Amino acid sequence: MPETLLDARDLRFAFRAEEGPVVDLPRLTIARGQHTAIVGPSGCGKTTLLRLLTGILVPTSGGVTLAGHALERQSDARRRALRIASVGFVFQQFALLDYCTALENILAPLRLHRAARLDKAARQRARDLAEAAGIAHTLARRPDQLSQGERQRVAICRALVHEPALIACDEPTGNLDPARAGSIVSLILHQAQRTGATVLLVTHDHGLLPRFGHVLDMGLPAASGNRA
Amino acid sequence: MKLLPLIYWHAWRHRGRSALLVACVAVALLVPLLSRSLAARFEQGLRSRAEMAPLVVGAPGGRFDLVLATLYFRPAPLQTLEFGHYTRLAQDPLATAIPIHARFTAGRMPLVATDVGYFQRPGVPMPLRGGRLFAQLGEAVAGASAARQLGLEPGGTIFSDQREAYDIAKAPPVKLAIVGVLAPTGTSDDEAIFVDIETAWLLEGFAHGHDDAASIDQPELVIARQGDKVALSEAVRTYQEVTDDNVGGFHIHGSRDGFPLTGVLLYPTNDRAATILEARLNAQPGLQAIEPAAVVEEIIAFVVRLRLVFDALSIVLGLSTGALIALIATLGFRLRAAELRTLADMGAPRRTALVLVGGELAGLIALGAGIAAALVWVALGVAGRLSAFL
Repeated sequence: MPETLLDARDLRFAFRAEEGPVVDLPRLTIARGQHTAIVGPSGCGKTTLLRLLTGILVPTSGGVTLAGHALERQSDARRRALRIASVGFVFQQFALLDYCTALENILAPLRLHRAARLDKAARQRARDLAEAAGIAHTLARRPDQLSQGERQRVAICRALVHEPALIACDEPTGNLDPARAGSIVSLILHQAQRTGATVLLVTHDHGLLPRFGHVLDMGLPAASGNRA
Repeated sequence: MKLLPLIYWHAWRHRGRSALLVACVAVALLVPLLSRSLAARFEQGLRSRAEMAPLVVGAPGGRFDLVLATLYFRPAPLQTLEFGHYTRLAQDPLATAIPIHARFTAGRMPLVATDVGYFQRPGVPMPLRGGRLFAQLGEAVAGASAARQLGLEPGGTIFSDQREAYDIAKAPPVKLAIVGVLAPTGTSDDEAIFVDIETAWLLEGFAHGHDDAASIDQPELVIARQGDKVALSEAVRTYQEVTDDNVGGFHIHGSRDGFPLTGVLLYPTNDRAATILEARLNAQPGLQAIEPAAVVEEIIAFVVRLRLVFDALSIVLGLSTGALIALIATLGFRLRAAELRTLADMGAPRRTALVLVGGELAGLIALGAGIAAALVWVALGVAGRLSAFL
């Protein structure tokens, strides 16, 4: 039986107490190496759920266990440390550092992670990732000198460089045409398979769902667990 | 340490803003640092020089002018003292007296007439860098800066400056032989060229040298002959240089006691002698004895008042720079909010935002301070070369 990486129980979250919960999830279990897509219409709480599952937000009630750590019981500093060590993020708008080159953007998590080594091997790993993503020739350029697709690939390499257990992607194909969206998701899944990482991807593009073994549809009346 | 490159790259990417901040900090620090440093060195220079001479004696007149002329060799509108006063002071057992006549220039540097006692004053070492002290008429010893600026070395020569270019009745310039160069002292001595008192009289026109009067047989140059006495015309050509061959032809006309001096430096044997001398000399008509240290303190009091103005200006500059730094810090957090939120989401420790924004500001402020310090250092060096006061 595969080992559980992420386990959410009775997860509820509301931005204000007087409002209804944005997220109300009885149970979600994700095994190591599993690739899960979270879908649903805009405003249904997909991004909020991703942020809860990765410890950026703390649930109003219920709990999340990530790699054996109950996130709701951890301090903010400890949750951050867990995040930088275990999670690689691909953000909706790439969120690259505009003053750094592509290579330094890829290496950014290693600068933020106190225990991570930023040595020759790490730089080589970043180059290998860039090579695999087809952006090796752009490593010396800054984000404003890159195309949108190249920026996206840099963001994906950044999420993978510290070899996290979980890759959390928040609508990484939001503004792309279907063909390019497909290639980006392929790249993420391929790299994740190579390193054995788990993928959690938020999307509203139903065309991508067949690529995922598991789908959580937040648009259903009660998002209540695994919908494989 | 791993965040340092991020700080540097951000500052470099926004280098226009960084340069503005560095410039503001540098200017804000430069004004108070420079004014205080210059004032401190000015005060130190004035004080140390003033302390080298316990008493200065001169003709009645401005006390500041007397101190500036005798100790700092600055041109001053000053009545001269008669050499006879010095002669009497030199015989006084209560003090050692050194004559100073600083009325001329050579190569636009002060030409200071004194005696060899000037170089052996108690507590004021004046070692030679090369050569020897002057021993006869027409010989000169150059201060370190004067020698450097005019390219003077022992064995060289320099003409005294012509004081009245269109008055042919005035004594002509004299070619002085440089026989020694002093080591740097950091005082106004560095900028001076020293000669003996009789050389000053040569420049004043009280002494001159020419061929033996008895041997002059041109009638237009001889006004009268009476026995071995010969009265010569002003048209007789005088020597413009003192050499071993013609030194015997130089002579003084008139009484030495009436010849001018700028002042006399007095080194009393003890405090009691100083008090007695000061009181006695100030009681004599046509004389004043002053303590340079007291006069200099009055000058410094004025400098301190001037410094207060700079301090007030510095406060205004400091406040405006502080406001600019606060504005840049606030804008930094606001403009970088998305970036900092991304880093926080990725798991960066809470202090990362502070390190990135605060570290960059601190680095730029430190750079501005460093530039200000370097400019002060350069300015002090330049000022030191420009004026022996600094």
